[in-house]
Amino acid sequence: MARIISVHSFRGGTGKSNTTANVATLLAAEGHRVGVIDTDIQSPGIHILFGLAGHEIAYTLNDYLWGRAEIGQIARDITPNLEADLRGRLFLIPSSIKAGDITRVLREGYDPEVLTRGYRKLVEELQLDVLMIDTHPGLNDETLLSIVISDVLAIVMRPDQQDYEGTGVTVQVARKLQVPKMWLVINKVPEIFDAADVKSRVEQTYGCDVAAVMPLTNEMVTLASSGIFALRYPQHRLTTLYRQVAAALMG
Amino acid sequence: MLSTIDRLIILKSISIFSETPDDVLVEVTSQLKDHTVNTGEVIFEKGELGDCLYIIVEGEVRVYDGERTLNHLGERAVFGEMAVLDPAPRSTSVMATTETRLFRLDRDSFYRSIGGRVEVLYRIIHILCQHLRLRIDDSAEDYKYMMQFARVTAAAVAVEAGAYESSSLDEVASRTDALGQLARVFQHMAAEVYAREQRLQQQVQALQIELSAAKQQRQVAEITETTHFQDLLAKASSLRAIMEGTKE
Repeated sequence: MARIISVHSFRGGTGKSNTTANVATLLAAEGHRVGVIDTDIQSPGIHILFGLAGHEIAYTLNDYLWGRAEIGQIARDITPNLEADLRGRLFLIPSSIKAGDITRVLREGYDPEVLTRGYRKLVEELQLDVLMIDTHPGLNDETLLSIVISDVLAIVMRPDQQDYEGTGVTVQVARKLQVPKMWLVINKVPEIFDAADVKSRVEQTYGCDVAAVMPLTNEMVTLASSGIFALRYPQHRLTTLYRQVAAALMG
Repeated sequence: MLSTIDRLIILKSISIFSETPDDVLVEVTSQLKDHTVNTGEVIFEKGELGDCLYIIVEGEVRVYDGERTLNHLGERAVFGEMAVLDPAPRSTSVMATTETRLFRLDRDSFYRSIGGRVEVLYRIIHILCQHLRLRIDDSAEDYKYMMQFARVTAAAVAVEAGAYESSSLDEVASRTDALGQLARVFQHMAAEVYAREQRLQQQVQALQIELSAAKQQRQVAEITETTHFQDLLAKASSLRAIMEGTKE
Protein backbone atom coordinates (compact mmCIF):
# COMPACT_ATOMS: atom_id res chain seq x y z
CA MET A 1 0.00 0.00 0.00
CA ALA A 2 1.37 3.37 -1.01
CA ARG A 3 1.99 6.05 1.55
CA ILE A 4 -0.19 9.11 0.94
CA ILE A 5 1.44 12.36 2.03
CA SER A 6 -0.26 15.75 1.84
CA VAL A 7 1.92 18.82 1.98
CA HIS A 8 0.07 21.89 3.03
CA SER A 9 0.56 25.45 4.16
CA PHE A 10 -2.02 27.89 5.41
CA ARG A 11 -0.68 30.73 3.31
CA GLY A 12 1.25 31.01 0.04
CA GLY A 13 4.96 31.74 -0.06
CA THR A 14 6.00 29.31 2.65
CA GLY A 15 8.05 27.19 0.23
CA LYS A 16 5.51 24.37 0.26
CA SER A 17 5.93 23.41 -3.41
CA ASN A 18 9.70 23.58 -3.08
CA THR A 19 9.55 21.31 -0.03
CA THR A 20 7.28 18.84 -1.87
CA ALA A 21 9.51 18.82 -4.95
CA ASN A 22 12.72 18.31 -2.96
CA VAL A 23 11.34 15.59 -0.69
CA ALA A 24 9.78 13.79 -3.67
CA THR A 25 13.08 13.94 -5.58
CA LEU A 26 15.07 12.63 -2.59
CA LEU A 27 12.60 9.76 -2.14
CA ALA A 28 12.90 8.92 -5.83
CA ALA A 29 16.70 9.05 -5.50
CA GLU A 30 16.45 6.46 -2.73
CA GLY A 31 14.65 4.14 -5.11
CA HIS A 32 10.98 4.85 -4.44
CA ARG A 33 8.37 5.25 -7.13
CA VAL A 34 6.95 8.64 -6.27
CA GLY A 35 3.91 10.45 -7.63
CA VAL A 36 3.41 14.17 -7.06
CA ILE A 37 -0.10 15.48 -7.47
CA ASP A 38 -0.48 19.18 -7.93
CA THR A 39 -3.89 20.06 -6.57
CA ASP A 40 -2.81 23.62 -6.17
CA ILE A 41 -5.21 24.20 -9.03
CA GLN A 42 -5.66 27.92 -8.50
CA SER A 43 -1.97 28.71 -8.81
CA PRO A 44 -0.10 25.85 -10.45
CA GLY A 45 3.68 25.98 -10.31
CA ILE A 46 5.34 22.79 -9.16
CA HIS A 47 5.87 21.69 -12.80
CA ILE A 48 8.28 24.61 -13.25
CA LEU A 49 10.49 23.24 -10.46
CA PHE A 50 10.61 19.92 -12.32
CA GLY A 51 11.65 21.66 -15.55
CA LEU A 52 8.35 21.14 -17.32
CA ALA A 53 7.17 23.99 -19.55
CA GLY A 54 3.46 24.86 -19.65
CA HIS A 55 3.08 23.99 -23.36
CA GLU A 56 4.56 20.52 -22.75
CA ILE A 57 1.60 19.58 -20.61
CA ALA A 58 -0.97 17.76 -22.76
CA TYR A 59 -3.49 16.61 -20.17
CA THR A 60 -3.91 17.84 -16.66
CA LEU A 61 -5.75 16.89 -13.51
CA ASN A 62 -8.61 19.07 -14.73
CA ASP A 63 -9.10 16.85 -17.80
CA TYR A 64 -9.47 13.88 -15.55
CA LEU A 65 -11.99 15.65 -13.33
CA TRP A 66 -14.10 16.46 -16.39
CA GLY A 67 -13.84 12.95 -17.79
CA ARG A 68 -11.74 14.03 -20.79
CA ALA A 69 -8.71 11.89 -19.94
CA GLU A 70 -7.75 8.85 -17.95
CA ILE A 71 -5.48 9.51 -14.98
CA GLY A 72 -2.75 7.39 -16.59
CA GLN A 73 -2.70 9.83 -19.51
CA ILE A 74 -1.97 12.84 -17.35
CA ALA A 75 0.77 11.35 -15.18
CA ARG A 76 4.10 12.51 -16.59
CA ASP A 77 7.28 10.54 -15.90
CA ILE A 78 9.62 13.43 -15.21
CA THR A 79 12.57 11.33 -14.05
CA PRO A 80 14.53 12.14 -17.26
CA ASN A 81 13.82 15.89 -16.91
CA LEU A 82 15.80 16.01 -13.70
CA GLU A 83 19.01 14.83 -15.39
CA ALA A 84 20.04 13.09 -12.20
CA ASP A 85 20.82 9.55 -11.18
CA LEU A 86 17.57 8.55 -9.48
CA ARG A 87 17.14 4.89 -8.59
CA GLY A 88 13.35 5.23 -8.45
CA ARG A 89 10.88 7.08 -10.67
CA LEU A 90 9.19 10.42 -10.30
CA PHE A 91 5.78 11.16 -11.81
CA LEU A 92 4.01 14.50 -11.91
CA ILE A 93 0.30 14.97 -12.29
CA PRO A 94 0.03 18.66 -13.22
CA SER A 95 -3.03 20.80 -12.95
CA SER A 96 -4.14 23.12 -15.71
CA ILE A 97 -2.40 26.41 -16.12
CA LYS A 98 -4.97 27.77 -18.55
CA ALA A 99 -7.07 30.59 -17.11
CA GLY A 100 -10.35 29.23 -18.50
CA ASP A 101 -9.78 25.80 -16.99
CA ILE A 102 -8.89 27.30 -13.65
CA THR A 103 -12.08 29.36 -13.57
CA ARG A 104 -14.18 26.34 -14.45
CA VAL A 105 -12.77 24.27 -11.61
CA LEU A 106 -13.37 27.08 -9.18
CA ARG A 107 -16.95 27.50 -10.41
CA GLU A 108 -18.04 23.89 -10.65
CA GLY A 109 -15.92 22.27 -7.98
CA TYR A 110 -15.44 18.52 -8.19
CA ASP A 111 -16.71 15.35 -6.65
CA PRO A 112 -14.47 14.14 -3.79
CA GLU A 113 -15.23 10.53 -4.62
CA VAL A 114 -14.16 10.91 -8.25
CA LEU A 115 -10.89 12.45 -7.16
CA THR A 116 -10.26 9.76 -4.52
CA ARG A 117 -10.86 6.98 -7.05
CA GLY A 118 -8.48 8.79 -9.33
CA TYR A 119 -5.78 8.80 -6.68
CA ARG A 120 -6.33 5.12 -6.03
CA LYS A 121 -6.09 4.26 -9.71
CA LEU A 122 -2.97 6.32 -10.05
CA VAL A 123 -1.26 4.46 -7.21
CA GLU A 124 -2.17 1.14 -8.79
CA GLU A 125 -1.31 1.95 -12.40
CA LEU A 126 2.01 3.59 -11.64
CA GLN A 127 2.78 1.10 -8.84
CA LEU A 128 3.60 3.98 -6.54
CA ASP A 129 5.30 3.65 -3.16
CA VAL A 130 4.58 7.22 -2.28
CA LEU A 131 1.94 9.68 -3.42
CA MET A 132 2.59 13.29 -2.45
CA ILE A 133 -0.22 15.78 -2.75
CA ASP A 134 0.83 19.41 -3.08
CA THR A 135 -2.24 21.20 -1.78
CA HIS A 136 -3.54 24.69 -2.28
CA PRO A 137 -2.88 27.17 0.53
CA GLY A 138 -5.78 27.76 2.88
CA LEU A 139 -8.33 25.15 3.86
CA ASN A 140 -10.56 24.71 0.84
CA ASP A 141 -12.55 21.64 -0.18
CA GLU A 142 -9.74 19.91 -2.11
CA THR A 143 -7.34 20.39 0.78
CA LEU A 144 -9.73 18.99 3.33
CA LEU A 145 -10.29 15.96 1.09
CA SER A 146 -6.54 15.45 0.71
CA ILE A 147 -6.15 15.49 4.48
CA VAL A 148 -8.94 12.94 4.92
CA ILE A 149 -7.29 10.36 2.65
CA SER A 150 -3.67 11.00 3.74
CA ASP A 151 -1.54 8.83 6.00
CA VAL A 152 0.67 11.80 6.79
CA LEU A 153 0.09 15.54 6.71
CA ALA A 154 3.08 17.87 6.52
CA ILE A 155 2.35 21.51 7.28
CA VAL A 156 4.93 23.99 6.03
CA MET A 157 5.09 27.25 7.95
CA ARG A 158 7.35 30.25 8.33
CA PRO A 159 8.21 31.73 11.72
CA ASP A 160 5.85 34.69 11.49
CA GLN A 161 2.66 35.74 13.16
CA GLN A 162 0.18 34.99 10.37
CA ASP A 163 1.62 31.52 9.85
CA TYR A 164 1.45 30.81 13.58
CA GLU A 165 -2.28 31.47 13.59
CA GLY A 166 -3.03 29.70 10.30
CA THR A 167 -0.99 26.65 11.26
CA GLY A 168 -2.83 26.44 14.56
CA VAL A 169 -6.14 26.38 12.70
CA THR A 170 -4.88 23.74 10.24
CA VAL A 171 -3.57 21.51 13.03
CA GLN A 172 -6.89 21.58 14.85
CA VAL A 173 -8.95 20.99 11.70
CA ALA A 174 -6.68 18.10 10.67
CA ARG A 175 -7.11 16.53 14.12
CA LYS A 176 -10.89 16.62 13.66
CA LEU A 177 -10.37 14.83 10.32
CA GLN A 178 -8.31 12.21 12.19
CA VAL A 179 -5.21 12.31 10.03
CA PRO A 180 -2.97 9.51 11.43
CA LYS A 181 0.26 11.54 11.59
CA MET A 182 1.11 15.24 11.35
CA TRP A 183 4.50 16.91 10.94
CA LEU A 184 5.38 20.59 10.97
CA VAL A 185 8.15 21.90 8.73
CA ILE A 186 9.37 25.33 9.75
CA ASN A 187 10.75 26.93 6.63
CA LYS A 188 12.62 30.13 5.71
CA VAL A 189 13.87 30.59 9.26
CA PRO A 190 16.26 33.57 9.54
CA GLU A 191 19.69 32.37 10.64
CA ILE A 192 19.60 34.55 13.76
CA PHE A 193 17.18 32.08 15.34
CA ASP A 194 18.37 29.10 17.29
CA ALA A 195 16.88 26.09 15.47
CA ALA A 196 16.54 23.93 18.60
CA ASP A 197 14.75 26.74 20.42
CA VAL A 198 12.36 27.35 17.50
CA LYS A 199 11.65 23.61 17.30
CA SER A 200 10.82 23.22 20.99
CA ARG A 201 8.69 26.37 21.14
CA VAL A 202 6.65 25.36 18.09
CA GLU A 203 6.23 21.78 19.30
CA GLN A 204 5.11 23.05 22.68
CA THR A 205 2.63 25.48 21.13
CA TYR A 206 0.96 23.03 18.71
CA GLY A 207 1.55 19.69 20.45
CA CYS A 208 2.81 18.48 17.09
CA ASP A 209 6.25 17.18 16.02
CA VAL A 210 8.56 19.36 13.99
CA ALA A 211 10.28 17.45 11.17
CA ALA A 212 12.89 20.14 10.49
CA VAL A 213 13.76 23.79 11.01
CA MET A 214 14.91 24.97 7.60
CA PRO A 215 17.12 28.07 7.45
CA LEU A 216 16.60 30.81 4.90
CA THR A 217 19.79 30.55 2.84
CA ASN A 218 21.20 32.66 0.04
CA GLU A 219 21.54 29.62 -2.19
CA MET A 220 17.82 28.86 -1.91
CA VAL A 221 16.90 32.48 -2.58
CA THR A 222 19.15 32.53 -5.66
CA LEU A 223 17.86 29.23 -7.04
CA ALA A 224 14.23 30.29 -6.32
CA SER A 225 11.94 28.37 -8.71
CA SER A 226 14.51 27.41 -11.29
CA GLY A 227 15.33 23.89 -10.12
CA ILE A 228 15.48 21.24 -7.43
CA PHE A 229 17.73 22.45 -4.61
CA ALA A 230 18.64 18.95 -3.37
CA LEU A 231 20.00 18.06 -6.83
CA ARG A 232 21.86 21.34 -7.32
CA TYR A 233 23.39 21.35 -3.83
CA PRO A 234 23.55 17.70 -2.70
CA GLN A 235 26.05 18.47 0.12
CA HIS A 236 24.25 21.57 1.44
CA ARG A 237 22.88 21.47 5.00
CA LEU A 238 19.45 22.43 3.61
CA THR A 239 19.52 19.23 1.54
CA THR A 240 20.38 17.29 4.70
CA LEU A 241 17.30 18.84 6.30
CA TYR A 242 15.11 17.93 3.28
CA ARG A 243 16.38 14.38 3.73
CA GLN A 244 15.41 14.60 7.40
CA VAL A 245 11.90 15.70 6.37
CA ALA A 246 11.68 12.85 3.85
CA ALA A 247 12.68 10.33 6.53
CA ALA A 248 10.11 11.76 8.97
CA LEU A 249 7.31 11.59 6.43
CA MET A 250 8.15 7.97 5.54
CA GLY A 251 8.79 6.84 9.13
CA MET B 1 80.92 77.09 46.78
CA LEU B 2 82.70 74.96 44.24
CA SER B 3 86.15 75.90 43.09
CA THR B 4 86.90 76.71 39.45
CA ILE B 5 88.58 73.32 39.14
CA ASP B 6 85.48 71.52 40.46
CA ARG B 7 83.32 73.43 38.03
CA LEU B 8 85.69 72.68 35.18
CA ILE B 9 85.58 68.94 36.01
CA ILE B 10 81.79 69.01 36.01
CA LEU B 11 81.65 70.89 32.70
CA LYS B 12 84.12 68.52 31.08
CA SER B 13 81.90 65.58 31.98
CA ILE B 14 78.95 67.12 30.15
CA SER B 15 78.50 65.86 26.63
CA ILE B 16 77.99 69.25 24.95
CA PHE B 17 81.33 70.48 26.27
CA SER B 18 83.27 67.25 25.86
CA GLU B 19 85.32 68.54 22.95
CA THR B 20 85.74 72.13 24.10
CA PRO B 21 89.27 73.19 25.10
CA ASP B 22 89.86 73.80 28.83
CA ASP B 23 90.73 77.47 28.45
CA VAL B 24 87.34 78.14 26.90
CA LEU B 25 85.60 76.14 29.63
CA VAL B 26 87.43 78.05 32.36
CA GLU B 27 85.85 81.21 30.95
CA VAL B 28 82.45 79.47 30.99
CA THR B 29 82.87 78.52 34.66
CA SER B 30 83.05 82.18 35.56
CA GLN B 31 79.70 82.76 33.90
CA LEU B 32 77.89 79.92 35.75
CA LYS B 33 75.45 80.88 38.48
CA ASP B 34 74.68 78.45 41.32
CA HIS B 35 71.03 77.68 41.80
CA THR B 36 69.58 75.30 44.39
CA VAL B 37 65.95 74.17 44.34
CA ASN B 38 63.95 72.19 46.90
CA THR B 39 61.97 69.03 46.33
CA GLY B 40 58.79 69.85 44.36
CA GLU B 41 59.99 73.31 43.41
CA VAL B 42 59.23 74.34 39.82
CA ILE B 43 62.34 75.50 37.95
CA PHE B 44 60.41 76.89 35.03
CA GLU B 45 56.96 76.44 33.58
CA LYS B 46 55.81 75.83 30.03
CA GLY B 47 54.98 79.11 28.31
CA GLU B 48 57.40 81.25 30.35
CA LEU B 49 59.97 83.22 28.44
CA GLY B 50 63.30 81.54 29.04
CA ASP B 51 66.75 83.02 28.66
CA CYS B 52 69.06 80.42 30.23
CA LEU B 53 70.00 76.76 30.23
CA TYR B 54 70.59 74.54 33.28
CA ILE B 55 73.13 71.88 34.15
CA ILE B 56 72.29 69.44 36.94
CA VAL B 57 75.18 69.24 39.43
CA GLU B 58 73.36 67.05 41.89
CA GLY B 59 69.78 65.78 42.24
CA GLU B 60 67.01 64.97 39.80
CA VAL B 61 64.30 66.80 37.86
CA ARG B 62 61.11 65.81 36.12
CA VAL B 63 60.32 67.25 32.66
CA TYR B 64 56.57 67.37 32.12
CA ASP B 65 53.74 68.83 30.14
CA GLY B 66 50.56 69.17 32.18
CA GLU B 67 49.82 65.74 33.64
CA ARG B 68 52.22 63.94 31.40
CA THR B 69 55.83 63.23 32.43
CA LEU B 70 58.13 63.44 29.44
CA ASN B 71 61.45 62.63 31.07
CA HIS B 72 63.47 62.34 34.26
CA LEU B 73 66.94 63.89 34.21
CA GLY B 74 69.80 63.32 36.65
CA GLU B 75 73.33 64.54 37.31
CA ARG B 76 75.25 66.13 34.41
CA ALA B 77 72.14 66.46 32.29
CA VAL B 78 71.44 69.73 30.48
CA PHE B 79 67.96 71.19 30.07
CA GLY B 80 66.43 74.43 28.86
CA GLU B 81 69.00 74.64 26.03
CA MET B 82 66.34 75.49 23.48
CA ALA B 83 65.62 78.83 25.14
CA VAL B 84 69.26 79.83 24.69
CA LEU B 85 69.14 79.18 20.96
CA ASP B 86 65.61 80.32 20.26
CA PRO B 87 63.93 83.09 22.29
CA ALA B 88 60.54 81.42 22.37
CA PRO B 89 58.44 80.46 25.42
CA ARG B 90 59.46 77.25 27.27
CA SER B 91 57.99 74.16 25.56
CA THR B 92 57.79 72.09 28.77
CA SER B 93 57.85 72.52 32.52
CA VAL B 94 60.61 71.26 34.83
CA MET B 95 60.33 70.47 38.55
CA ALA B 96 62.89 69.20 41.07
CA THR B 97 61.98 65.76 42.40
CA THR B 98 64.63 66.00 45.10
CA GLU B 99 66.75 68.79 46.45
CA THR B 100 68.75 69.71 43.37
CA ARG B 101 71.80 71.84 42.73
CA LEU B 102 72.02 73.44 39.30
CA PHE B 103 74.31 75.60 37.24
CA ARG B 104 72.54 78.26 35.35
CA LEU B 105 74.02 79.76 32.16
CA ASP B 106 72.33 82.86 30.73
CA ARG B 107 71.85 83.36 27.02
CA ASP B 108 74.16 86.42 26.91
CA SER B 109 76.94 84.59 28.82
CA PHE B 110 76.53 81.57 26.59
CA TYR B 111 77.00 83.56 23.40
CA ARG B 112 79.81 85.59 24.85
CA SER B 113 81.88 82.60 25.94
CA ILE B 114 81.05 79.62 23.69
CA GLY B 115 78.40 80.79 21.22
CA GLY B 116 80.92 80.65 18.42
CA ARG B 117 82.32 77.19 19.26
CA VAL B 118 81.35 74.85 16.49
CA GLU B 119 81.85 71.68 18.57
CA VAL B 120 79.50 72.97 21.29
CA LEU B 121 76.83 73.94 18.78
CA TYR B 122 77.29 70.59 17.08
CA ARG B 123 76.63 68.75 20.37
CA ILE B 124 73.61 70.93 21.04
CA ILE B 125 72.23 70.18 17.58
CA HIS B 126 72.71 66.51 18.35
CA ILE B 127 70.68 66.82 21.54
CA LEU B 128 67.97 68.77 19.71
CA CYS B 129 67.80 66.07 17.06
CA GLN B 130 67.27 63.44 19.75
CA HIS B 131 64.46 65.50 21.26
CA LEU B 132 62.89 65.96 17.86
CA ARG B 133 63.05 62.27 17.14
CA LEU B 134 61.31 61.46 20.43
CA ARG B 135 58.62 64.01 19.65
CA ILE B 136 58.04 62.51 16.19
CA ASP B 137 57.76 59.04 17.68
CA ASP B 138 55.33 60.43 20.24
CA SER B 139 53.26 62.08 17.52
CA ALA B 140 53.14 58.89 15.49
CA GLU B 141 52.08 56.99 18.58
CA ASP B 142 49.48 59.66 19.35
CA TYR B 143 48.17 59.45 15.81
CA LYS B 144 47.90 55.68 15.96
CA TYR B 145 46.12 55.98 19.28
CA MET B 146 43.64 58.45 17.84
CA MET B 147 42.98 56.24 14.81
CA GLN B 148 42.36 53.24 17.02
CA PHE B 149 40.16 55.30 19.27
CA ALA B 150 38.20 56.32 16.17
CA ARG B 151 37.67 52.62 15.47
CA VAL B 152 36.00 52.14 18.83
CA THR B 153 33.76 55.13 18.04
CA ALA B 154 32.99 53.67 14.61
CA ALA B 155 32.15 50.33 16.24
CA ALA B 156 29.66 52.10 18.52
CA VAL B 157 28.00 53.68 15.47
CA ALA B 158 27.98 50.28 13.73
CA VAL B 159 26.26 48.64 16.70
CA GLU B 160 23.50 51.22 16.44
CA ALA B 161 23.16 50.59 12.70
CA GLY B 162 23.21 46.80 13.19
CA ALA B 163 26.38 46.50 11.08
CA TYR B 164 28.88 45.81 13.87
CA GLU B 165 31.58 43.20 13.33
CA SER B 166 33.44 42.15 16.47
CA SER B 167 36.64 41.54 14.46
CA SER B 168 36.86 45.28 13.60
CA LEU B 169 38.17 45.83 17.14
CA ASP B 170 40.58 42.88 17.34
CA GLU B 171 43.66 45.04 16.70
CA VAL B 172 42.65 47.70 19.23
CA ALA B 173 41.75 45.01 21.76
CA SER B 174 45.27 43.61 21.54
CA ARG B 175 46.69 46.82 23.04
CA THR B 176 47.86 46.45 26.64
CA ASP B 177 46.80 49.95 27.71
CA ALA B 178 43.48 51.42 28.79
CA LEU B 179 42.30 51.80 25.18
CA GLY B 180 42.87 48.09 24.64
CA GLN B 181 40.85 47.34 27.72
CA LEU B 182 38.07 49.63 26.51
CA ALA B 183 37.98 47.77 23.19
CA ARG B 184 37.83 44.38 24.95
CA VAL B 185 35.05 45.52 27.26
CA PHE B 186 33.22 46.95 24.24
CA GLN B 187 33.50 43.67 22.32
CA HIS B 188 32.18 41.77 25.30
CA MET B 189 29.31 44.18 25.86
CA ALA B 190 28.31 44.24 22.19
CA ALA B 191 28.19 40.43 22.17
CA GLU B 192 26.03 40.48 25.30
CA VAL B 193 23.66 43.06 23.83
CA TYR B 194 23.38 41.07 20.61
CA ALA B 195 22.62 37.83 22.45
CA ARG B 196 20.05 39.55 24.66
CA GLU B 197 18.38 41.11 21.62
CA GLN B 198 18.12 37.71 19.95
CA ARG B 199 16.64 36.12 23.07
CA LEU B 200 14.13 38.94 23.40
CA GLN B 201 13.07 38.68 19.76
CA GLN B 202 12.40 34.96 20.12
CA GLN B 203 10.55 35.45 23.39
CA VAL B 204 8.29 38.07 21.81
CA GLN B 205 7.42 35.74 18.93
CA ALA B 206 6.81 32.79 21.22
CA LEU B 207 4.56 34.96 23.33
CA GLN B 208 2.55 35.92 20.26
CA ILE B 209 1.89 32.27 19.44
CA GLU B 210 0.15 31.98 22.82
CA LEU B 211 -1.90 35.12 22.39
CA SER B 212 -3.72 33.99 19.23
CA ALA B 213 -5.37 30.89 20.76
CA ALA B 214 -8.89 32.37 21.15
CA LYS B 215 -8.90 33.73 17.61
CA GLN B 216 -7.84 30.29 16.34
CA GLN B 217 -10.78 28.60 18.04
CA ARG B 218 -13.15 30.92 16.16
CA GLN B 219 -11.44 30.25 12.83
CA VAL B 220 -11.54 26.48 13.40
CA ALA B 221 -15.25 26.67 14.19
CA GLU B 222 -15.88 28.66 11.00
CA ILE B 223 -14.51 25.75 8.97
CA THR B 224 -15.72 22.73 10.93
CA GLU B 225 -19.27 23.98 11.34
CA THR B 226 -19.93 24.25 7.60
CA THR B 227 -22.13 21.65 5.92
CA HIS B 228 -19.32 20.81 3.51
CA PHE B 229 -17.03 19.87 6.39
CA GLN B 230 -19.73 17.82 8.07
CA ASP B 231 -20.45 16.03 4.75
CA LEU B 232 -16.78 15.28 4.28
CA LEU B 233 -16.47 13.98 7.82
CA ALA B 234 -19.44 11.73 7.18
CA LYS B 235 -17.85 10.43 3.97
CA ALA B 236 -14.38 10.18 5.47
CA SER B 237 -14.32 6.47 6.24
CA SER B 238 -15.85 5.67 2.86
CA LEU B 239 -13.21 7.75 1.07
CA ARG B 240 -10.42 6.10 3.09
CA ALA B 241 -11.84 2.72 2.15
CA ILE B 242 -11.64 3.68 -1.56
CA MET B 243 -8.04 4.76 -1.07
CA GLU B 244 -7.14 1.56 0.74
CA GLY B 245 -8.81 -0.52 -1.99
CA THR B 246 -11.37 -2.04 0.34
CA LYS B 247 -14.24 -0.25 -1.42
CA GLU B 248 -14.80 0.02 -5.15
